[in-house]
Amino acid sequence: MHNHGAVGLPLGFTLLRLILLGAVTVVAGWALVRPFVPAASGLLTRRVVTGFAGIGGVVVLLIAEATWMPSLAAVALIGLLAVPPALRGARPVLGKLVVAAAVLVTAAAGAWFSGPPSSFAYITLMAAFVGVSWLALCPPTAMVRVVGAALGVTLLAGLGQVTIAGQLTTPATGDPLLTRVALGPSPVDVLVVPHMPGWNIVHTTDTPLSVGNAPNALVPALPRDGTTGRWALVWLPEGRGELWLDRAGTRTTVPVDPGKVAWTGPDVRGPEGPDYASAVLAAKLTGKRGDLPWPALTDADAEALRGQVAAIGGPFTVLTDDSRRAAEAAEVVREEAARRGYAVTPGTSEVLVLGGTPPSGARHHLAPWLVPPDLTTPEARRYARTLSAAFPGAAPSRSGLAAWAG
Amino acid sequence: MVDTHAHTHAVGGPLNTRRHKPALYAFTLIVLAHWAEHITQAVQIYALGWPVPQAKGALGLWFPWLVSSEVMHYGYALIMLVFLFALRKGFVGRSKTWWTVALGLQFWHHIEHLLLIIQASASTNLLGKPAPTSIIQLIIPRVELHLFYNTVVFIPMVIAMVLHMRPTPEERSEMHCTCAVPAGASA
Repeated sequence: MHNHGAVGLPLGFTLLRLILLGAVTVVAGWALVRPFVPAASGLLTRRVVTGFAGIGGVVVLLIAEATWMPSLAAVALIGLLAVPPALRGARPVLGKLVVAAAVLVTAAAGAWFSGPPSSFAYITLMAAFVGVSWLALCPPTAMVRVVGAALGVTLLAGLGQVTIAGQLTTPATGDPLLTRVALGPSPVDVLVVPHMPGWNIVHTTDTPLSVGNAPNALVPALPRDGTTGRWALVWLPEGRGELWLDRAGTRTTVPVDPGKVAWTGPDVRGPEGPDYASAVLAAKLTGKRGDLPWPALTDADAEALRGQVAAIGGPFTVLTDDSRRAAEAAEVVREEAARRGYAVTPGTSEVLVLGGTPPSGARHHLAPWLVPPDLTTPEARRYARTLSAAFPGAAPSRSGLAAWAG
Repeated sequence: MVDTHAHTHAVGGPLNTRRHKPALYAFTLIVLAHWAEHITQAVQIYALGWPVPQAKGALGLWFPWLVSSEVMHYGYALIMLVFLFALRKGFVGRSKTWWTVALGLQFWHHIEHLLLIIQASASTNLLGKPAPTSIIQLIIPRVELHLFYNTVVFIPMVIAMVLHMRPTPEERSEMHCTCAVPAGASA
């Protein structure tokens, strides 16, 4: 099949959301008013209501990305939505049969179908649109009006449910995603960096859970030395999709939209990933976009390292990790040590830590970016307070403070 | 002098009277060109065994965006729909019936393309499929489906045109265009 990737509209999904909102408003509004208006609706009103119901039902089908729905069921659903607007006269018998079938199917789905989160809400929405549409073809008997009103309430409840579950959000494409989801006994904060196609680092609240791009591809989010919370690496494909979270068997999804432009920065799977994510989190909390430059060795950092070498005053050990910044810092440190005539050898009692976990027993000197930030200033205290409220458990970091202040 | 202005309006204006024949020629040219693209694509896939993503018809080999753009496909479907609707009033009798059949089928074809362009624009596909998918495409693959759609619209269109060129005497008396072949030639 040739790739029919037309250019997605920046507001494309938002437009679908607006259409859904409009359709629910019109259809539910009519269904809820009908009990108080015993007169039969004219042809125009019926066409409008059934038309909006048809459009609303199709939009729900699109938004739901219902991979769990059999194709024939989707065809049948669309058929049931498309027919009422085309009919002229009343169809009381057929209408009631269709409504009864829609209600039964929904009840059966509720009882036996264990699909992804919000799938039942989507099924309910689709069935309610079908139901109101076909009830519009029935004479307004008391039963028809009451059932119609109930379906109207169902539409509102279904829309509310998918909205609260965050299924209608449109995450900014290519911008790191920060969100909070209801999952189990307490909400879970989630940060996805860089939120672009490819590998992404996912930071969550410190609670045992698994994360993945599909229900059968979940990996545990684990603590990392020197950081707080939990971390997982997830591959996100291009375009709109879902990030799955599982906490003790309870599952939910977070809409993601990494876009089509791949991440070209350093590998987030490296040791600097969490530090970068911390800076991104701080940037997001200020309302800015989170696409920050990758942390690098600054002139100030290099100068500070030279000062630390001078302060050590003798042989020392250098501890690094695989990051580029640590490698560059190690060069600076070794040059300075050579200039001063200090030996850089493993196993000494003085350790200059440029990356990784400081060893126990030895006296260690942390590189500037590893030192906890100075939280005594008003700006720093504001950063710490905001971070604590937005992502409980996350520790302030030097890079985070720099991003907050920058 | 008889004022035919009002009557011309009643049968759809110059497009369905004195310009009906050239309009139908122009429309036929567009349809045949599009048809040729689909036939070429089908030959590339079934006779030459090309992978579907590489089978881009004729023009599509030089201008791939013509094939890959949902906007193009929708635009063409809309143009066909507009022409079928706009030229309908010039037909009478049997030819009008066949032309209306083509119009109805093309309306559905257009709805399928509308659904595709909505999905592409909203970056969300039906049933979470990897590519925009129309309703009947849930059952029949895209290339074959749209080949079918173009066929079922083309056939009644051609029948309508043939009958329009060879009308019965009663139909000829109701026609206001110059599409019909002279009476002696159609006998």
